[in-house]
Amino acid sequence: APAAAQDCEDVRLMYSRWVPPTHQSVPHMEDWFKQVEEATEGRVKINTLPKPLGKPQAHFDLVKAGTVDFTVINNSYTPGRFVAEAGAELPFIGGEAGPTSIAFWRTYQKYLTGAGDFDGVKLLALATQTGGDLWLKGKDFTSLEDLQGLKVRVAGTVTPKVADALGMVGVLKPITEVYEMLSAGIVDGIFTIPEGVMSFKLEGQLDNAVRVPGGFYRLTSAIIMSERKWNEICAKDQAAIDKLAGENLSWHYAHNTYDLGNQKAVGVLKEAGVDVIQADPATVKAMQDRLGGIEQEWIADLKAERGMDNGAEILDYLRQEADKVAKERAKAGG
Amino acid sequence: MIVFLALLTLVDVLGRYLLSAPVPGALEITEIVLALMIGLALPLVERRQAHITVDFVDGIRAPRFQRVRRIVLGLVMAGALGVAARQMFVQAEDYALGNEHTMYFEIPAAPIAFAIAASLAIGAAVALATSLRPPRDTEADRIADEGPGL
Amino acid sequence: MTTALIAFAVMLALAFLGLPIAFALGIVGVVGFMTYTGVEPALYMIGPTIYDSFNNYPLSVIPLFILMGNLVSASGLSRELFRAANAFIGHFRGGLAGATILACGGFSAISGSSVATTATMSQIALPEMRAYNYSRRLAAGSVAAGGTLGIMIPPSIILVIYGIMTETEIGRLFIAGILPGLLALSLYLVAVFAVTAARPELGPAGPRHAWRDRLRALGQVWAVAVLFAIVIGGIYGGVFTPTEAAGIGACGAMYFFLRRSGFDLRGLARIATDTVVTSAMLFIIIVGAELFSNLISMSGLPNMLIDGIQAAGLAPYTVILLMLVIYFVMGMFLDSLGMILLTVPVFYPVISFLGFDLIWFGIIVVTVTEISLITPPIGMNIFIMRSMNRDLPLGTIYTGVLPFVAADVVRLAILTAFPVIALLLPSMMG
Ligand code: NA
Ligand code: NA
Repeated sequence: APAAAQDCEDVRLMYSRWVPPTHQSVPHMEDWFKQVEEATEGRVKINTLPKPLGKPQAHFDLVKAGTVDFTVINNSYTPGRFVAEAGAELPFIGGEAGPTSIAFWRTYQKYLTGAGDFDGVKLLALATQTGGDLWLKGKDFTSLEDLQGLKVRVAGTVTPKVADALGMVGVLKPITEVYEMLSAGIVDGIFTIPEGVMSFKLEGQLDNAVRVPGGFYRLTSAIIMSERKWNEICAKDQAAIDKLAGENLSWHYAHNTYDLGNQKAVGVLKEAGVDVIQADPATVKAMQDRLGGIEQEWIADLKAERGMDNGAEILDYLRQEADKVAKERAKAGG
Repeated sequence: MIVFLALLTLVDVLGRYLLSAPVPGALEITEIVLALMIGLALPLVERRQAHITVDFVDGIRAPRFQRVRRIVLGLVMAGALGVAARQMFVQAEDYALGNEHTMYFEIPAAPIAFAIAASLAIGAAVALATSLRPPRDTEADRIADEGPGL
Repeated sequence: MTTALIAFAVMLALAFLGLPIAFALGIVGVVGFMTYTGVEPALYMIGPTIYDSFNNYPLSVIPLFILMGNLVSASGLSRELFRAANAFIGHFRGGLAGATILACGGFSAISGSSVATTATMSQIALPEMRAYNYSRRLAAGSVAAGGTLGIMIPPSIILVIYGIMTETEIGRLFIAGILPGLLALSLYLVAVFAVTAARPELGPAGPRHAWRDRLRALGQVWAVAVLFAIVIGGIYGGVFTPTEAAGIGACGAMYFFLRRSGFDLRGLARIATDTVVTSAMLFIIIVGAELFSNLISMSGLPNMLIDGIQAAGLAPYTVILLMLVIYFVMGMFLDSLGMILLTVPVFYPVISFLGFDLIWFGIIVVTVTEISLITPPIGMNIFIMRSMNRDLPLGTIYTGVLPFVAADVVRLAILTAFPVIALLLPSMMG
């Protein structure tokens, strides 16, 4: 054993974290870093930089170039790059963040590695949020009619299309200006998840949340590290990290950040008097009809951009797997 | 372009309040116009020598020292802008490779990055030319005297 | 830690040799970074830093607010501000200097820049004060100091840059600047009247204006008031975001300029070009500062400071006091923006770690920046005055600003002791 350990050099990784220090994920990432340190007997350490080394959307390139060693990226910030993974962002996919993220990781391993979207970096985990809800201020919701002409803040690639298809007016503004836009009545609503409402302290500005099974959209993330640094780590330590990464890290990150984050938000929302309205089956069916085109669009994109014509099969697998994992976890959890 | 930016904001806000119809994707248009406007103005900043400097050694009356200093500074600035131009080309290629585009209008990033790269290269040439030219009392001095406007 | 200290030293040396601050920051930032990652990874960060800084929605307020100030200046509204202030208080002892301060405050309400405020007011107020036999010291001091109000009273380019660096809401920062700006204005007026009470010959009283003249003079400045009300009132009332406010303010200023200049489109084009060049220069500085702060981040200096503070068991207010001393000393030598770009990346993690409010700290940073503009040996406002009035010796300006520096130190103490002055208005926003 001493001989093997001698071959293993110490590697120090710099984590460029662009989410604020108060983000739900922060303690859980720190916790995972400790697991890595223990599993490699202190040889691999991951340190968080006091300030990110660039804008969120630059982080994939920064890791690829080796400027930054380790980061969590939001796939939807660079929509042209993660065409294959964008299937997980569509409306009506999966359930809670933890199980859906495991399903997402399995889907990637089974179908998407050939797309090459993560070439040039070491992919450690894939995660999704819970499905996004539509949050309204001063508006009730009973049927689709109620949404006609409402102004909603949209972001990313999916919600602008959702807003269009449901007859709303999408307003594209940075998340930092959302509070002001809601309080001033510039928009009537936003797309986000309970944890997002809590983190941006929007509960006082909102009255209702419209929820559909699987959500209107879903943001996805990837945890990546620089290939150069990965190659500096000895085989034994690489194996130890791989064991902690993949499904484990996907669950660890997504479940702790989003599922538990949402649970914390429940009390905050209740106290602020924000009602969560489950859309009734008829309304959901009507929405599915209107939003089906977004899914078809992705299937066509996947064929055009990545030469893969099995988009529908991939989505089926992702949905089934998410369902399966959720049931397994529920059973295991009692 | 700056006038266009101002008017765009006005139309966006008026549209939102009066017609309940903001300019779709005004944010993206603003960003693209801003990037091109600032990017393309870089050579002009060099030409007018509009940078903020600490002019401690300006007052030293040693013509030869000042001439050498001007040339060395010019070379350093031209070199830095040249490296920046190269990196911007690299970035533009990466944007092209990753099919980087905006989310709403799907405007590709690569052409804009190429334009900024070209502008940085011109800026490097201008910085070089300006440092080699003998100092004279020109518009550049007028602007420098009036300060950068901060 | 050593890397960070060497980087600071080299950066300052390059800047003092006359290399533009943007370049000194950027070059040292990238070269220093190479010691951690090697050459190509360090060079790589230049591309996204430039692209993401230029392609940045919140930063569009910078050219738009500069455009607004330039247009208002070119419309001659600044002269009318001074006339109005003079009509009201010009007949007091030191009244013209007081009027200068008031006019500076008014101009600050639509200009985001101290240098622009100083440059504009020195053209208008200095000749008037000379005509009334004001001491050149008091005249120069009141313009140079009054000009610093430009970055405290909103809008403020410095607050925008601080907001971007610390991810603090720009709208709240602007609103936070209002009361401290008024406090600064009052203290400057106190300084003027204290100086002229001690030595009346420095600022003789001007003629008294009839109420009819006063009201008429006031009638001309409504444009400035309207612009300020739309821009800042709009932000405060949440009618639009700061970015939108800048665009709308610029449109308003454009309207006044075109109406008063007889639709001078060529003039508008010239002002637009000047605005874009000034903005581009600022964006280059932002890029340089970003690269330099990447190095500071990589060096771990902020974390070490926090650890050091904990190890030494320093009380939070002791740390603030230390920072203020550092700022005062740095401010003697450094340009306003350079000072902020150098210190904020290091200080703000410490500040938020210690539990202070980042909006309040922004106001403190602007205050120390204002002081740096008028303290010898290097003060931007002093250089502006000097370059626009070649017959004004530097020494005269330096002694002239001393009472105002004293007023600033008093203000800094008040703002530090009573954070509520900065935080009251933002806390009342939605
Ligand atoms: Na101002
Ligand atoms: Na100074």
